[in-house]
Amino acid sequence: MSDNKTESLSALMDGELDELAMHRTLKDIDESPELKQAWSRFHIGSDAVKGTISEFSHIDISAGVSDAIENAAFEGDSDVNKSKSWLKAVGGLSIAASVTFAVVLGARFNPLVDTSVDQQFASKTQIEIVTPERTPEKGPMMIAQGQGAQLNPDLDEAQMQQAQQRLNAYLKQHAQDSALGQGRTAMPFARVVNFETTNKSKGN
Amino acid sequence: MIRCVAFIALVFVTSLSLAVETQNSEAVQSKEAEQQTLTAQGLYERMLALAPSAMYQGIFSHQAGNQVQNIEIVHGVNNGEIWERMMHLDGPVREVIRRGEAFYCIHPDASVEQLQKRGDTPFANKPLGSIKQLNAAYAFQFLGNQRVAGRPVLGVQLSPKDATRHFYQVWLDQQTMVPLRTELIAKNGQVLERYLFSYFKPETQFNEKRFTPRNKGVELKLADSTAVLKASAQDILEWRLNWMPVGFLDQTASGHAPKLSARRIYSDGIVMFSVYVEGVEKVQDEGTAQAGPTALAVLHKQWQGQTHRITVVGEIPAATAQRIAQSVELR
Repeated sequence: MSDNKTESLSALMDGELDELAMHRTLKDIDESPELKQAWSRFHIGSDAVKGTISEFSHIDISAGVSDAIENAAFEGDSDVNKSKSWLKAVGGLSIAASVTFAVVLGARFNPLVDTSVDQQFASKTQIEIVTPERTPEKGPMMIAQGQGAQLNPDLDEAQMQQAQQRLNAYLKQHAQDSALGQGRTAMPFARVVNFETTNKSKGN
Repeated sequence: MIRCVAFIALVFVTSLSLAVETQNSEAVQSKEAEQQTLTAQGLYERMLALAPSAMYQGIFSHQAGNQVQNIEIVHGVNNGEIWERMMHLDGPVREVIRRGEAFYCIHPDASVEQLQKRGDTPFANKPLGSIKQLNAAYAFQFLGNQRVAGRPVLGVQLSPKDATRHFYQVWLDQQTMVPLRTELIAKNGQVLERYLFSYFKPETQFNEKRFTPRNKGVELKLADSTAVLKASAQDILEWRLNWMPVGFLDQTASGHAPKLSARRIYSDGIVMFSVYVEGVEKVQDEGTAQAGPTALAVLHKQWQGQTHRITVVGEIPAATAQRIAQSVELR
């Protein structure tokens, strides 16, 4: 590794590089395993200086702790059809049950609020570290709080259901778009399952 | 008299040196803050560059509002394409399969739905979430070292610069830069959504077997062409937003409308919101609602003697969604 590169690395660490040089150095790091190692050494070194060295940095994460898990979860020839027969036994019920709790939206609307006051948005938020662990969780989020259902009172049962289905369809579409749009990972698809409609449940 | 002058001089010098010292420590503090920001930005950029092409398998939980579920994921790169397989571990068996741009959903009844085809994405091919775009709306902070799924991670927080959006935290695996913990947090500290790995294992080789659907005998056949509709000219209602928060960009590819209505998609690099506008016969509902991290705002406007319904859906505060909806006007 050239001294030149090492210097760039330490400059990057100290935040002394301009944007162009930062990009170049980051690219260098990615391309050279040697630099990569040095980069992680630098991190640990600097953390030690700051006295914030991770108490976990001594743990060897390459140890094969997970072999057993891996075999069970991925390699094991777990027969999905087996669970399908279980599904069949319970009938459409289990599928429907997993779906119904998602379809509670329509009737719980909050009334519109006055957003004409620009101040509400203009106010700079305090930039601080938020520590969610220390904040007690509030109640269920699925059901929005507040009175004043804003459903049209003229709607009959079928129309109300239609309204809820429409909202769920929007939510599903949006969740799909979010997953597809950022393109990095399909993980946001996890949201989609919350909004599946009952159309897919079989024999129900 | 001389003593008095000396005393005054001493006081003066002392206060001067005190002032200089204060200034110095302020400078040191701001330099430190700047470095922290750069470290955080650098880490985030490395995540953008490395995480999509990383190879790994794992199990993560997804928490949205009061719901939580476990999902198995396998992620890798095959001939330059991102391949993924996700399977819900709780309840009915559902799988999401990704082959590059093509996405398939395998439902509990083993039916296959293709969500997106190759070369047919509803998104304009615009780079998303560059540091430049993010800097318009968020401040970067480095959160330090932690441990997630047994592995050392580095934390980065994106704090909104205004009140129109939420906080975002990622904890990146030091080895692969894959986010092992991701949170969307409201201003009051409430976690709206959390992705959290409980098991994570990097891989060195692509192993196609791991990406085969666990539902046996399922074929990833092509969807028929009605699944994704191209909009014809008269379907498209020309409208515009008169207001949206700083940093959001229109992501929609032109001429591409979904099954539902004329919608457009906007993103600030972290979250997205969708706007749907359509003519309706009857007002069904109006107001705002919350589903996990996602807010909905529905309202109606009269244009050219016809009632139009405007729906905004996104991972933004409900008040923001509502204000966006109110700003929609016919072009």
